[in-house]
Amino acid sequence: MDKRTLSFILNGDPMEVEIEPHLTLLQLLRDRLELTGTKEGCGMGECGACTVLLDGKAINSCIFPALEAEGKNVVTIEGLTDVHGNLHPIQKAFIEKGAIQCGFCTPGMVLSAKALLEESPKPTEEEIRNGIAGNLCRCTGYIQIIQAVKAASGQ
Amino acid sequence: MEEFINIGKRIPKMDAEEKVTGKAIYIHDLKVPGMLFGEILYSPHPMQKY
Repeated sequence: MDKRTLSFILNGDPMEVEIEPHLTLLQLLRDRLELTGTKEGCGMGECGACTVLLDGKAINSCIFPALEAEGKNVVTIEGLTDVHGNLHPIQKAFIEKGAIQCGFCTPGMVLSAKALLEESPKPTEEEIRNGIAGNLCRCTGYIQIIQAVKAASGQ
Repeated sequence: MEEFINIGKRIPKMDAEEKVTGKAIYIHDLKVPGMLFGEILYSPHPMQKY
């Protein structure tokens, strides 16, 4: 199959890759670019483990065609720490509140939280629950995660 | 009461930072040289006797 050129911004860096048109954004990130922080859980857009930010909005990269990211700004968990490697306040809050157990849902959960806080900097508990509704966690029971998002928003 | 070192305190998980930054390596993040791949081949014949 003919390859196509995709230009987009990944974690702040402009990027140009030649890819097969059927690749999902998740396959591009994990298999081609070896950014394995983005996880594949269900592969069908149900569990949210593959969540990345596309122009600031949380999307399921496992069902998102990579070519659709043309010209867009993609942020993965690898891009959340600052240039000095300092953790983002959401990441710190997840650690402090014990919102991580096996950690498989964590990258997606953190990015969904970031998208939420950008839209609503002081969310209510209900807004937080809605914000992470697309991310499944089988370990924590969600309570610590909700507390972490609340703490990250300064509440 | 005696002062405990760990009991009753919230101790951050040792691997929490790795996990929250996506650096933690899970089994399907692993790639080793010469790695083989397998796939399950299911029987097309249900309830067959050996």
